[in-house]
Amino acid sequence: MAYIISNEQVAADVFVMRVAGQHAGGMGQFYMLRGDDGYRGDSYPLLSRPLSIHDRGDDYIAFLYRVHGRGTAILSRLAAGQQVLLEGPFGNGFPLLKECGRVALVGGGMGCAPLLLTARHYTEADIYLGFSGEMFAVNAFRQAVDSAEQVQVMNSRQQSVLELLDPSRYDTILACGPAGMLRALAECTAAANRHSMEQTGGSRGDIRLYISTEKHMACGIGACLTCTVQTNGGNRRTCVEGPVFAAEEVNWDDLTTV
Amino acid sequence: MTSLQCNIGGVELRNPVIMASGTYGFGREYASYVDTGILGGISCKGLTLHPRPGNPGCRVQETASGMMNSVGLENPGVQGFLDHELGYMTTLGTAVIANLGGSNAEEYIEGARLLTEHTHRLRQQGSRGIDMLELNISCPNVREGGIQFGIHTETARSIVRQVRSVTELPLLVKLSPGAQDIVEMALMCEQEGADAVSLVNTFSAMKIDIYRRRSAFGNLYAGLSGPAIKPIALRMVHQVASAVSIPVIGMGGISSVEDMIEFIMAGAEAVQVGTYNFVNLRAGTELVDGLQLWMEQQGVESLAEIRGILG
Repeated sequence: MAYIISNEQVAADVFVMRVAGQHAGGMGQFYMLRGDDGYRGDSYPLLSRPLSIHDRGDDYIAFLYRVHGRGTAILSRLAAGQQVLLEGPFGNGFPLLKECGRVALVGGGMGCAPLLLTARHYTEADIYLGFSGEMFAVNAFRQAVDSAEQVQVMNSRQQSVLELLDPSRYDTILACGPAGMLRALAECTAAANRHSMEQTGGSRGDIRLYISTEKHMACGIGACLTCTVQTNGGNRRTCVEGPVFAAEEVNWDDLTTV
Repeated sequence: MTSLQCNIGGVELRNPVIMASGTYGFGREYASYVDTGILGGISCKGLTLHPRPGNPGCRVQETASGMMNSVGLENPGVQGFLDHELGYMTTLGTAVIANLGGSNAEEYIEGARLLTEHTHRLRQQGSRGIDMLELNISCPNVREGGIQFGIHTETARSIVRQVRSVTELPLLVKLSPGAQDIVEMALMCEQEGADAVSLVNTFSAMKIDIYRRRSAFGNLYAGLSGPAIKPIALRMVHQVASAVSIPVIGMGGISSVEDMIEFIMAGAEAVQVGTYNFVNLRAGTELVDGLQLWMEQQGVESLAEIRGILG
C-alpha cells in the first residue's frame, strides 16, 4: 500500500500516476496495481492491472497508462493522497547490455511507458516515438537523454514512426508498442540483418531487437497461465519470462491475434 | 484451543483451506508470498495424460465481481508433473492433490494409474507422493477436457468407476455446475466409491466483443469464477452435502473468512479458494489466520460444531 503523489492527465485518456516510496524495479519490469477505495476484494475490479514502470526515483515510482476499460478508469479517478495497492516488480525487463553499440528505443503510443526508465539507462540512444493524435511524455524523454535532438517524433494517423527509423544504423533496438507495429519493426530489422549478411558473408545479422509485449493477466506471478505467449521454445509467460522477449523468439501470428 | 483439522478420505488436513486447481500452479510462484506450510492443501494445475499447450488467443477477461478464463488446461502432462513438479510440491509442507482431466476414458485411467504407481514407488522409498487424486470432469474450456463427462451422470459414472478400479489413493471428483442434476451426480460418485466430491468448477459463460462482432474468447465460451458465482455455488454445495454422506469440498467465489464459514455451515468438510488467489497473493495465509481468529472470537472450538448446521 502506498500513497499517490499525483495522478495527472497528460492527454485525452492518458495519465501519469506517481506513487510515493522507495520501489524496486528495472526498465521494462511491471507492477500490478489496484485502487484501495473501501475495497473488500469481491467487487470490480477483482484483478489488479499490470502497468510497466515508466519512471522511478529515490522516493517515487511513476506509471504512464491509458484508460482502456473500467479497471484503468478506476485508477484514473484516484487522487493525490489516496492509496494504491501495488505488487511487484515483476517480469523480465529490457536487458542492460554492456556492448550495446548504437541503441535505438522505439515506442508506439502507450509503448512509450516502459521506455523512459530505459532511456535513463541508455542516455546515448536515439529515441523514436510515434503517436496518432495527442502526444505525451515527449519532454520527459528529451530531458532524460544526453541531447534533446536524439528524440524524434512522428505524430500522424497515416504514417508510422517506423518511417523515421533505419534499423541498419543500430546494433540494439528496444521497442514497445502495438503488436502490429512491433511485427513490422521485426520484419524490417530481419530484412536489414539479411542484407548485412549478404554484404559481409557473415552467418547472422548484427542488429538485436528486443520487444516488450502486452497481454491480459490475472495473477502477475506466473501461476494462472492466462498471459501465455507462443515462442520458438514453447509457451512462455508474459509476466515471468516476459514481457520483454528477443524479437526472433516470438510467434508473431500468436502475438498479433487479439 | 481451537482445532481446524478436517479429514478427507482418511487424509488429515491441518485446516480446511485448500488452494484450488488452476489458480496455484504447482505452488512455486506463491511460495515467496505465502507460508505454504500453513495451508490445508494445494490442488495442482489440472493435468492431462499428455502435455497440452492450452488455448490460443485471449485467455482472461474480468466481469462484474468475477473473471472468465479460457486457459484450456495448459499443463506439462502427467509424466512432466511427476518428473519436475511433484518432488517440489512435497516440500511445501501441505497436502498435495493431483488434479487430473482427460479427453477420453483411457486417458483418465492411464493418468490415474501413472500417478498412483509413482506414489506407491515413492512411498516404498520412504518419500511422499501425492496425497489425493482430484478427478476433473468439469473443465469447460477444452472440447474434450472433462466437461463432456460432467453433464450426464451415467457418462461420468463409467469414468469414476474405472478410475476407482486403478487407484487406492483418496479420490475426489470435481463437479461441474453445468451437471444436469448435480445431486444425482454426487450420489453416483459416492456409489462408485469416491472418497469426496469437490464443487463447483467454473460456469460455462460467454462474453462478446461487440466491436469485433465475435466472442471475446477464441474458444467461444469460457469459465466464469469469482464472487459472482458464490451464492449459486453455496446453494449447490448445500444440496449436495444434504444428500451424500461422503465429504464435500465447497468452492466458488470464496473471498473472505465469512465466505468459508458459509460453505462450512452449508455442509462442506473443507473449502477451496481459487480466483481470490489472483486478487490477493497472500490469500492462503490470511484466510487460515482469519479462520482461526474467527473461531476464537465466536467461541467455536471445532468446525464440527458449525458444519452443516443448516441441516
